This record gives sequence, C-alpha cells and structure tokens, in this order.
Amino acid sequence: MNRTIIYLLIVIAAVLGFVFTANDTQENAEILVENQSDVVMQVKLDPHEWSSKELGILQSLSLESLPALPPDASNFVADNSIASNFGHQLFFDARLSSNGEVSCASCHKPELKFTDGLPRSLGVGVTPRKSMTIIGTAYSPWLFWDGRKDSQWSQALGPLENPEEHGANRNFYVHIIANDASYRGQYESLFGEIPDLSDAIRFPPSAGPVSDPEANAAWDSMAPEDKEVINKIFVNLGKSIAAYERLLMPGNSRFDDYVESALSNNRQQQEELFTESEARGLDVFIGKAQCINCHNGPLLTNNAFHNTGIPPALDLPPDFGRIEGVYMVKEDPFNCLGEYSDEDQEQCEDLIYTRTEGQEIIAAFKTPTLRNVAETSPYMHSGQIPNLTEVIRHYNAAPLAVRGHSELATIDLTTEEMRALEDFLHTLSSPVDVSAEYLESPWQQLLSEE
Amino acid sequence: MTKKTVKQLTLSIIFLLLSACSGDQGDQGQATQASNQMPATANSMDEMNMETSMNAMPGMTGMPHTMTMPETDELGQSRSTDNGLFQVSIEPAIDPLPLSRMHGWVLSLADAAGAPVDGAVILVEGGMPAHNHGMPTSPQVTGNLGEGRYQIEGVQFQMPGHWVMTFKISADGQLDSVTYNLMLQP
Repeated sequence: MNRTIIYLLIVIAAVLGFVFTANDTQENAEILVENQSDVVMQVKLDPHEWSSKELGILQSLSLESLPALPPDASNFVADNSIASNFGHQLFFDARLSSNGEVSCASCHKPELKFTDGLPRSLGVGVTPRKSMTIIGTAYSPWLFWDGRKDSQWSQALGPLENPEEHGANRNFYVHIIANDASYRGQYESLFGEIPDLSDAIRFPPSAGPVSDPEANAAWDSMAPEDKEVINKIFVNLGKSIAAYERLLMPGNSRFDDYVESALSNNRQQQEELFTESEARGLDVFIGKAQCINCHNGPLLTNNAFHNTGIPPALDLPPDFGRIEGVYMVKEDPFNCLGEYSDEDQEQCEDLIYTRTEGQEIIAAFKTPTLRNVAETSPYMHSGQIPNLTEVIRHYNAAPLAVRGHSELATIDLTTEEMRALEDFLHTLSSPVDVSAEYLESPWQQLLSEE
Repeated sequence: MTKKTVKQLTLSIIFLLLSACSGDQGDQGQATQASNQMPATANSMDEMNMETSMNAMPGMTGMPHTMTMPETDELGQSRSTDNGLFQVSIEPAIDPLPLSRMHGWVLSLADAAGAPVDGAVILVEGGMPAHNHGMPTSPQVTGNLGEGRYQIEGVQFQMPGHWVMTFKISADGQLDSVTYNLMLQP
C-alpha cells in the first residue's frame, strides 16, 4: 500500500509538473504581434515544434509521399531503355533545328535543373515564355504554362515545329532520322521499319503544318497516307524523347530530410538540417502565407491553372494562358484522345473533363513545381519577376490582375516572415535522381570515348 | 489512503491529462472544420480584429474562412433539395475527398416520398467562394445506373479549404437544386 502511495505521488508530481510547464509554454508559445494593419498573428516560440496536424501536412509535401510513377499508357515505349537512350540522343541533338544550333537541351540545361536561366527562352528566335523544368513532369497531366499539351511525348513535339524554338518541321526531322544509320537502326528496333522516303515529291525534305508558308504548302500537297507515314515517325520521336524525360526525377532535398527528422521527432537532426529561419519559413509556407493552397503534394504543385495577377510582359502580345491552352489541347491531333496516343480513350479523364470556360481560366497559368525553385530563376510565365524576394513581395501584396481576375488576397507578412519564407525556399533544392550519364550530352560522351 | 482515494486520484489525473491535451489542441489552431470554434488565443482578440484577420487569410489552413462559414455537409446522408422535391445522397469513390485527384461520385436520387427517380438531368457545379473560382474540371453525369443512381465523373478539387458543390436536378418536369458545403483537407 505504501508503495502504491509513493507511485501515486510520483505520478501526481509528474502530471502537475507537466501541466504547469504545458501552461507555461502555452502562455509563452505564442507572442501576439500586431502590425500596422491590426492583423494579429501568432509567432511560434519554438520553430522546430510541429503539431500533429502540421506534421501531417509536412508529410504530404515530402518526396516520401510521391507515389510510384504510374505507367504512361499513351506511350508504349515510355519505360523502354532503348527508347530512353535514343531519346537522350535526340534531346541533345542540335541538328534537330532549322539552324543546326538548337536542341531541347538549349532551353532545358541539366546544370540549371533543366531550365535556362532566361526570362524568355532563346531558340532560333526569342520565345514569349520562360522554359519550365522537365524534372518530375512525368507526373504532370498538363505541360507548358498554359497546359496546351497533355503528355510528355506530345509536349516534346511542340517546340520542334515552333518557329521560335527549333524552327523546322516534321518532314525535316523525319528525314534526319531516316538518313542517319545509327538513328535509323535505333528507331527501327523500337518501332519497325521506316518506309522508303527518298521520293522528294511524295516526302518533301521540308514540310509540316507550320507557320513557314513554303513548308506549309508542301505539307498540304502531300497525300493523306504519306502524311500519316510522317506523322507516325514524328510522334515516335516524341515518345522516345519522353522515355528519356521520364527518367528525370527530383532527388531528396534538405526539406525532405527535415520532414523525416521531424516525423521521427529527432530534434537534434532537425536543428542540424534547418536554421531557425528556414523552419520559421516552412511554418509561414504551410500556414500564414497559404502557399500550399496551390503548391501542394510532394512535387509542390496542384497541376492546376491560376490567375495570380502576374503583371504581363509589356512588349508581348496579350497572353491569355489557360483559356487558350485548353482549346489548343482539346483540338490537338496528338492529344490523349487522338489516334497517335496508345491510350485507351477511357483513360483520358483529364482531357475530357478539364474546364474549358469561366473567368478564372483567363490569363491563368500552371502552378509550377517549387522543387529547385531557388535554382530556376527568373520566375513566372514570361520571366517577369527576377528573384524570389520579389516573388514573395508579389504574393504578399496581391495586386489586381491586368487581365482576368487574380485569386490572391493580401497576406500581410512581416519582413521577417518574408525573409524566412525565402530562406525556406532554398531548402527545396536537390540533385536530379537519375544516373549521371543522363545529365550530360551523349554526344560529348561519344566524343570523349573516341 | 483508501482504495477510494486512489481511485479518485487516478480519475483526477486522467481529467488533468485530458484537459492539458485539449488545451494544447486549441492552441495549435485545430478548430474543427465545421465549427466556428477559434484557437484559444482568439479569446484575447476582439471581434473586429478577428474579422480582419480572417478576411486577410481566406484560405488559412485549418481555420474557417469567415465567421459565417456554414456547417460542412455529410455527402452520404440523404438530404432534401432546396424546395423539398427530391432527396439526394452522394457516395464519392474516394473517401476522404482527395486533393488534386480526379474521381467519380455516385448520386442517389429519390422523390419526396423516397421512391428512386431515374431519367433525371443533373448539372454539377462547384467552386471556392473565398477564392472566387470554380473547379478545375466540369464534372458530368456519365450514366444512370438504375434505381435512382447516377454516375458522375470528373470531380476534382485543386485546393484545400471550403468548397461548395451544387446539383441542379430536373426530373418529371420539376426543377430543384441542392448545395453541399465541403472542407478539403491539405
């Protein structure tokens, strides 16, 4: 009985101690900060402490939560290693351009996380948009800032025929493949024999449904069945490039490691991984600043389109974003429902049900991933914002949209919160999770081997 | 010390632990989705301040958007339409409702007396009042499964927070609608 009393006293003491300290922390844990606009905010005393709800959110943003990459049913060579090696060569081949100087890698440089560091990308001309990273896009239902493509392989075909990007046309590219012994061999091992294309009347060296009037007229002159031959080969080039791009996945960032240590309650590791400011920035990211409204999931994007009032580039024609992109993708012969997709049409739900009208998709642009965001400046669809400090200021101030209606509301972040948020964004950098040879041009590798 | 005292002490320890825990929850801002219960610190703020801070953070995770945020609705419970003409219940294919993932819903429709209604035309609309935008998709009824059950495809929510879904139902020359308030968790 005596022992019971002693045990009880110990338990009571412990409980009282716990309650008092808990009360203490409760009183001290949050300092009410009032700024000019009378908005009362809570500041955590301990930046490394997370509630169970917050831990749940952190976990949902971690790469650990990324599901296994689902098969790409629209591309039957998506997971074929011969196709990814072939695509790797195509990706880095500048012969696939009207001036012989532009490859996919010109605007998607591995050393810049597959972007180019420019406000508007330079192909054979100047494009109106900033290049987006390719890393992780195998998970994306929509490609490009306006989502005018709905698969990686279909996306890859767009720039090839864009007059400001690769600048040539499908016949031009198909003839390169047919006339290069190595390419032809790789292609035929994947897709079967390339028919005889030597008749220049039936298969003009330069032809395609492009803006160049001569190539366009040549395309119009072709027989439907010959166009079909060219289209199939052209599409298969896109599918091979996609098989390469599909390998480019984000690696673990410091943020992912931090989440793991927070979930396992490893306080020491948390402090080693994140500075106080970075941890506070993470708190702002998932809380007050509402970043996770759109930048959610392990790739930190909801893959949707939003008008956030980004000021248009003044020297460009009006850019209406998604409302134009949605019509382009619906009418694209290379979309999920088209004859070139290997997809069962019932699987094309994204394309079938995507919203095609409404003021909210006017001048709306795709939420980009925030993985590697600190390494992929400048920002926004035409590179309008040069650095993260200005990006955060934009979202904090929430200016009205010039076109359409911005969804943003002002946030009233303090200077410290904005700085912390920017510090946090730097923790999202990580290497590409792919074997090293895929981060270099295969042509350089071939040269150095010789 | 008697056994009774021990029992009482144990009970009070449990009580203390429970109250400590619930106090903690309040501080973390875990106001339940449906209620207007505010974090403990809200007590120190006057109503005006609260209103301002809520308006400044329309999508604040885990907090109601406005003081007038309605109760969230159970999709599965049978509900009367606005004018009482029909009864509706909904089964989402994925529960809890997923973020950024397209999925289907099955809507069950009955008349006021509870008899299943087939052959209705149903329009689906959804959006986030606080953000002034709709859904990323246009969900559609893709089939009448019989016994008043309708397959709806293309439901997708691109943001956490308060969503409103409205079904306009037309059957047997009668028109009525029903609106659901939902809370999507981050």
